[in-house]
Amino acid sequence: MPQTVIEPLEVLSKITANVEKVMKGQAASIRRLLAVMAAGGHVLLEDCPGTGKTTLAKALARSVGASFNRIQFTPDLLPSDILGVSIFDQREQSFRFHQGPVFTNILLADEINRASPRTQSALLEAMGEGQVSVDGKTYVLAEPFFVIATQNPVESHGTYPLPEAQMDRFMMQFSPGYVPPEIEVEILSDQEKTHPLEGISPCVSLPDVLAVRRRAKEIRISPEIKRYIVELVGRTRTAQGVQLGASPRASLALMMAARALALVDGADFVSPAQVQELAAPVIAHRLMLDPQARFSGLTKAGVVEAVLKAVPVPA
Amino acid sequence: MNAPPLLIAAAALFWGRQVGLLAPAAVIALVIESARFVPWRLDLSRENQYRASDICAALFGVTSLVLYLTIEPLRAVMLMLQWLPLFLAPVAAMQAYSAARKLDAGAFFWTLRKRHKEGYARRLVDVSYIYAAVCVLCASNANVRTGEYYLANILLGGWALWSVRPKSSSAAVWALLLALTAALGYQGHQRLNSMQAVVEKTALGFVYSLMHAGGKDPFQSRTAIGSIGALKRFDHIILRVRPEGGKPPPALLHNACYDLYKERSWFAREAEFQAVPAVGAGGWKLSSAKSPESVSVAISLAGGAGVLPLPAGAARIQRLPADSLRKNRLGAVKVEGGPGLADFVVRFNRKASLESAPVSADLAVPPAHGKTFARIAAELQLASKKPRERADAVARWFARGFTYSLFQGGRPLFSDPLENFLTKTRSGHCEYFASATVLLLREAGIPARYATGFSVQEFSRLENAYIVRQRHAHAWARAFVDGGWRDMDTTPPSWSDAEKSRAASLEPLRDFGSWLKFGALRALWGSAGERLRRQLVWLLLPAGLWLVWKFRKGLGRLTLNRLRGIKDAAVPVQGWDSDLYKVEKRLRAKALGRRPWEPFTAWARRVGPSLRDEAAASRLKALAALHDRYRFDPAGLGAGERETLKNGAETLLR
Repeated sequence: MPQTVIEPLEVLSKITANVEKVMKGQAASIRRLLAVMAAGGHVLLEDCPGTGKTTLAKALARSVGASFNRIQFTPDLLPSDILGVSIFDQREQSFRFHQGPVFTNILLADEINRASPRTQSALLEAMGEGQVSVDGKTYVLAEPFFVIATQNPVESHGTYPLPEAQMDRFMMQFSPGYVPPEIEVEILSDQEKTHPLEGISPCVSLPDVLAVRRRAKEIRISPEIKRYIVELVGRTRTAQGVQLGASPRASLALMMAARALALVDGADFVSPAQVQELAAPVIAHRLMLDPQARFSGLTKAGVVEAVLKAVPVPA
Repeated sequence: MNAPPLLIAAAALFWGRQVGLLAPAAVIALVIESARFVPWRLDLSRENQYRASDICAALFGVTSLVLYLTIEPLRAVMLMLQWLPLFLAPVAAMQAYSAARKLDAGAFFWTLRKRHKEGYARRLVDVSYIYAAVCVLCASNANVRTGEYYLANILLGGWALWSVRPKSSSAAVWALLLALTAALGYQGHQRLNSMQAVVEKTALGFVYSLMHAGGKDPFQSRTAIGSIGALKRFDHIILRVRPEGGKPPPALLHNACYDLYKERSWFAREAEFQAVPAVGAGGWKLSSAKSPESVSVAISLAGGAGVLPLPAGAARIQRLPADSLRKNRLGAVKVEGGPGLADFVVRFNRKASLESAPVSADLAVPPAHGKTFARIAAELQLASKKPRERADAVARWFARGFTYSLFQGGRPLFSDPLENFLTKTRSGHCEYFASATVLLLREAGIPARYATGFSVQEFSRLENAYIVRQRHAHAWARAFVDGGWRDMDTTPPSWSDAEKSRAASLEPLRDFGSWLKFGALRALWGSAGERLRRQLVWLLLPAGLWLVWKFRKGLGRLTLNRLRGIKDAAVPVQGWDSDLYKVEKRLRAKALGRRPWEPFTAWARRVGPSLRDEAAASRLKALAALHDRYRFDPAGLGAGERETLKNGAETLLR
């Protein structure tokens, strides 16, 4: 494992190459995933079972030499199963806090919508502020703290939709989607004997990832693009069929994500195309649609697409 | 601002020109359009928007009330519609100067404010186009019937549509279609107009034939004789009578007299109006008879014109400023160009009369009724009596055995209602009694006419005056006895009680309102009101300022934010002179233009394959990336790169 800090761009391309060994035909998803990681956000992968959500998350986690925990969310999971619990130590006659799986660098929250909303909410503070409060004591999480959550579409059996507040904590939500048949054949061939995931080893170190994050904050963004972002987000609040539009947190997330994507693309400024590419993954999952509009076939991504078409892009 | 430049100014000025308020319109236009050149914007919170629109609405309400109380309701409505852009102007200006480009819809609808509290999303409205439309609509209210209105409508509409026309089709096609629409619209509205005229005429004729016109028409009085069911009468106060000199008021006030009875209607023949000479300011001389008594009468005149209710023997009228006063031979007096509220003094002589001497027509009994009246006259042995006694006998006959009733049951199929009244029911309202009396007197050889007007019988302590309600409208006979015309009212005295019993339970309340309105009208139309009326508009200004002052705490602090960026005017942005714009313009002409939402890089990818060769396509892509940096990288381009962009664009243009 390399110990010296390497160039952020190189870090990103190394991770991309590593993950692509496992995730065939998912270049767009990897780009977005890296953008979220570089921007310091959290990501929610939503798709049908078996599309490679968990594999993608695991591949990324294994590529980075960082501590990695995975929680399989189930209906009977309790908040203390995530955060940790204080247990009475007979020898020292005091309570000792046993850290839960949340104390890690990369957390894979698998099938997050299978746990009850109460348990889902346990992650709120950790994701929002990078800290955990238990029994009146606050524990600061290690840097970086990156949550990759996966979930099945809400309509599936045995799922609890995530509360809006929790949804808002995710910088991005996207679906890896199905790959073309020829790629799928390739996947079959790869896994004939062993799973390619087993052949993956960390290619970058923790300081490398932190350097990438620092670099993302140096990407330049013009006031015009900022206004474009605000206009896009603002339009969702008045769009037809939307009950609750996106918040300023969405504007902020879109700016950070666009900057990180610019870094992934090797640019040092944000261009409108990057904002447009990320608008739907960043904004859509924060919207609440009118039931009426939802029944008539309107989707959240559809709303964002319509807004993108309606707002003239700075050019 | 969202509307195209100068659209609002043009609409406002057009409105001002049509309704004759050019100066305020110019101010509005100037204030709203100046927003394009002002570098700052107001940061108006939702609550501030609500308050500002509430103040405008309150001003509108107060003004409407004042107008309603001081001029006729219909005119008040028309005026308020004409003035609407004045009251909406602050709202339009608020949007023009606010950082948000639209206003919260809750500013206009209370229900939306409530919905917003319940968690529904805010709805925003763009007031600029609405304001322009309101200006055009309110201009129509001035009713200036020239082609100018239609033309302005087309031009303003075209102006508004120009900015949103589909960019793909040429301006010429667009203009042609607009002209075609305008022409079709013109034809359509002309045809609609003529169709409306036809329908209106037919409908009016039909309705008029059903209606019983009251005593207002000095040439014809259509009676309710023959109609069945209860006679509908109203309680509102229409006259106020104050006797002067401590004498009782005249019991009857004349509106008009008629001399020909035909088909249940009374007509005034040869009753052309002649001008009455004016005597001094507001004085009129009706006759030269001595006039020992006087009474003051107040009546509101719709449009300053109408027939005056006067006591019998009216000789002079004072305190009535009007353009003209005219009377006819039957004693009806008509005023024109008078005040909205006529509060005048009549000097009169109970023994004199305004009417002309009797003629043979005043003795005519319609042949259809001849037999009946001849029989009754014979019954009463009128022929053998002196004229004075004959009249007394007629009065006595009606006083015996006849009753007053507002209700008429079904009437026999082939019998005339008047005959039915005389021979069978012996019960009816004043029109039956008056018509029958006139005809019976004529049968007895006494010249008689049918008079309509009002009976003065109710004293109001609230107003310290006699008040006359619509239900006090009355009809009676005028008989020529002892060389003069005398009132002869044969309707049983019980009629006033019968009418009173039908008064509405809320009458005192309504009377109080009527008294307030009368006071306001008198203040306006009295001598002091002349000035007041002219300055009404200027009185509204301090009222508005007072309202603003009253609400000043609620307005909170308006924060002036220097939001230069949000200004609509084209501020020079970074990289505005990029040479790629020229390339894009050239390609637009070949229908390869950039879509409004398309970044240059995406556009270059899309149109690349349509270019002349591979090299051009890849050059365009490279230039688009460079353009992006020139425009959006705060660090900008180096001199060399700038040169590359310029040269690359020139190569492509070649």
